[in-house]
Amino acid sequence: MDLVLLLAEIFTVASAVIVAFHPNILYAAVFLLFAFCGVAVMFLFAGADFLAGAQIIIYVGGVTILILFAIMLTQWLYKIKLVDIRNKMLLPGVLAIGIGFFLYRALHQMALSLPKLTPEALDKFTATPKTALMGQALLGSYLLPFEAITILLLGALVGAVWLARPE
Amino acid sequence: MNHLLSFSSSLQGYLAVGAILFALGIFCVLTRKNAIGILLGIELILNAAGINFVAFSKFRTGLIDGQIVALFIMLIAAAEAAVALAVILRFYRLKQTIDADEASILRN
Amino acid sequence: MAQQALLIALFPLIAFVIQSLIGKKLPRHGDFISVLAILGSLVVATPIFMKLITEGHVFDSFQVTWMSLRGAEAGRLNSAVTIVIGVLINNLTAIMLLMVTLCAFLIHLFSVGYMHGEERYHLFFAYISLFSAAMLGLVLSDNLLTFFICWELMGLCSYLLIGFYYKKPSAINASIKAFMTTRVGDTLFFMGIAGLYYIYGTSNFMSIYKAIELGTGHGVTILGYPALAFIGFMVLMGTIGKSAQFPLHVWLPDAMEGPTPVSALIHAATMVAAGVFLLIRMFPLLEAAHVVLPVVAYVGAITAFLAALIAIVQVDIKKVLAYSTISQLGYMVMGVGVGAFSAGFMHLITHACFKACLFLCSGSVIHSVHTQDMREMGGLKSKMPITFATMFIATLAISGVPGFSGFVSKDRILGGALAYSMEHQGHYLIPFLGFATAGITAFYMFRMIYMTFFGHARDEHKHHHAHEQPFTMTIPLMVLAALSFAIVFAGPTGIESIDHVMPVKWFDHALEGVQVEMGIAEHLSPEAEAVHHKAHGLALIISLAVAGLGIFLSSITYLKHLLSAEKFKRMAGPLYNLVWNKYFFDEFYLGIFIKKGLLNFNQMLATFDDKVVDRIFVDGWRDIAMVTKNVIGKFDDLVVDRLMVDGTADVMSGGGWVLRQFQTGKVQQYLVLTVMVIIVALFFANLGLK
Repeated sequence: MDLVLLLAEIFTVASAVIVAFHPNILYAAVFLLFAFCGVAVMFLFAGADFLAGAQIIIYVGGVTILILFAIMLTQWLYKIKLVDIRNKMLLPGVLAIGIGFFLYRALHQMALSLPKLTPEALDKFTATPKTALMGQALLGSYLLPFEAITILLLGALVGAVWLARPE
Repeated sequence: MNHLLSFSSSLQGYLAVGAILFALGIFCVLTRKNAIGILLGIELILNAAGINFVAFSKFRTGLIDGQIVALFIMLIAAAEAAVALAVILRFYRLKQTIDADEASILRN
Repeated sequence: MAQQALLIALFPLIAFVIQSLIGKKLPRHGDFISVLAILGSLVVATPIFMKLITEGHVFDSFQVTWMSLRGAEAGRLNSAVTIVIGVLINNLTAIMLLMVTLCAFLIHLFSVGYMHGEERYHLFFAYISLFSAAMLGLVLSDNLLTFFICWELMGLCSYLLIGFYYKKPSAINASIKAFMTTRVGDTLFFMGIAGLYYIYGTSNFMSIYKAIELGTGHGVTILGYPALAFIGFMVLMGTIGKSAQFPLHVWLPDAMEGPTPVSALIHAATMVAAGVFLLIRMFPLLEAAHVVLPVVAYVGAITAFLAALIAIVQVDIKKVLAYSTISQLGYMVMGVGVGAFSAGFMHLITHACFKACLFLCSGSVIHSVHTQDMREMGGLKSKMPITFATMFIATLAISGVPGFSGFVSKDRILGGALAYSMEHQGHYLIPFLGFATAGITAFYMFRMIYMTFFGHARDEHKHHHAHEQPFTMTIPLMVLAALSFAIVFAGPTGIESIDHVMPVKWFDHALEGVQVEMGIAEHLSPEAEAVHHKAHGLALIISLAVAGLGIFLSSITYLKHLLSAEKFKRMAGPLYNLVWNKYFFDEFYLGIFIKKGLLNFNQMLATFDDKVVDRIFVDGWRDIAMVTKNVIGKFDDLVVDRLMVDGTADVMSGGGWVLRQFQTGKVQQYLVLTVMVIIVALFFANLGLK
């Protein structure tokens, strides 16, 4: 089982690398889709079954398709335009590595400072189905953020329609 | 090999993947000239944050609070993608390009 | 009963919604909706009051849980704050409800005639409907939270209505001034409510009374002050802002820019009285806090006296009434402060009736002669007999002439003040200011009557056009004038007290019930009883004497012209100036906080420039400059011009160029900088880790 997780992680990172480096924006978008799938598998292994499903539906089914549409609407598909001209890469590369390093370090420190769970508790957590729990939490103690998110979504969608409307 | 397997299924493995995705996202945002390319980078960054939340939720707290936050991140990312793409389409209609460097009217 | 009572506040609220949405399209711009709504409130409020009259006591309440703020998931935080709101009906509420609905109904009726044909007629009714809803909601509230919500709603309506003639800059300024000034008090009041939640975990009045009776809350501190005193002072600040007490009284006179019915309803009868109502509701807490009550008394007494003095010199009929309102509110606050809170409450009710009447009469006069300046009035007695008669009755009431309502309530406050000063040695200023104010009140009120209605017409043209108003406007006047007779408040009811087999006065009986609820029923020792008896007897004589003296002086000055007001003005000189300019309060606030500091500083710089720089440096050094002219000329050319002037410009433009390089307008370059800063910050944060 751990092997599957390891493969998923490698798959995710590899896809993300292609997203970041591939000159053709269309390929980058397609590999973003694969990266999202890899993350969904990682979620599954972390006991987040509901979240994995949501990841597939929202990201793979929604966001990536949306991005692909946008690419097709704004590019001449078979022209050289699809190849993204890049800025200079050295400074951004250094910065990205630096921020990734510091982020990992800080989170690692935080992980050390928190108490660990017993293996039994870990297994129990992974085995529990989360959908019902998530639903209760969303309509219970997280009701206010939930409502706020719904309003945000509504506003975003109305705003998007308004922005993209024909003249 | 066993070492690698145990690392990948530990909290540190998740954090490492998150950090790498984050760094790649930042790199993507900083280097791509295409506005949609920048958007791809932002999605990577948001996913990296989600991974960290889910990882801590499983390995440290044992509560689903982290997953809830990850869900919220996902929803906000969806809203953000919708608005950003609408903006990009609008910008494309205005300038016939989606090069982010062209969006500098405010400078003058 | 308490549930039905909610209807009282609900009717005007519904009227507000209808009026603000579709009022303009309705026939008559929908004024009938507001009038009918407040009439409905009156109809619901009357049975509650009648129950009080026939049974001597009403009490009912109900609560609902508004919200329950629980801790987060899995019970990690188990502290829960439950906010319960509800309705409290007791004797105080019953009396207030009837007073507010009645006054509001009459003033709505008056407005139909007064505001006829005005622009934004429907909005006017929408606003006063919302105001009525808020005021009634405030009276019904059983807790300070909804009380405060309604309190703020009233402030909003007051702001909207003062600025109703939005094309007049003075009206806009007045509305902003009123809103901002009361905001000072409101903010502090809200801190007081927060303090109450802190020490008692509730703001329910009955719970507070109970907690105070049990003696909890003593010894707790907030910000290093004793909690009860802190809350008491914050509540007092709320009252000072809302009831226009010294030193935040400056907004009320300016608020007269609003339409006259608004002045009558909001700035005389109800909203400004809400501050006093708050003090009365919170009286047990103020009493338990010990240090607060004397301050309350002094604030009231000083306000009453200062405002009364200003009222003497005003020539604008509404301004006279505005200062008179401040002064009378000062009386009420003083009454609460000296512990005679039933007298203060009684004065609140009597004052609402006669001051609403006075304002509506002044509105009737203004509507008729189209000026507010009393110097352009005169001789209107025969032209407007009903207005004159009703205004005269109300004037008798406010001046404290026996047989009228103002006499009863004011005399009790003064008696209470005198008793207080007898019990607590050294507080003689309070009754002194009180009695002086009583005399001054009689003086300026009669001055107003004489200047408006008596003598010859000072403006023939305006006098010629003056006419009596239609019935919709005179009927409210007559009803309110009828309520200014003492018998309404001091009269007996059907109930008989248990130990004396004689009818009791309904008002006193009702207030005794309230005192029992609050847990502050007085048990006076025989000696104290004697002191009180003596004080009230003495107060009766003194107040009669000063009121008589005031009326007498006013008559010989303004009616018979035996004394010349002009002469007094000249004799008083600087004092007159001080009062005419309202003690320079506006100038003080404007000056100290905004202009004076800056202006003085400028003045100082100018003086420095003139005296030091010009005289010494310029003139004094002229000769030396002549001698060294050539040297300096060279220096000027080379060093100053080339190096300093041109150099400065070069540095500036160079710096600009450098900064411009960062300002590319390219998002990603900004992002690069942002990420760099984050990395630097993370780096330093990481240094702290091992």
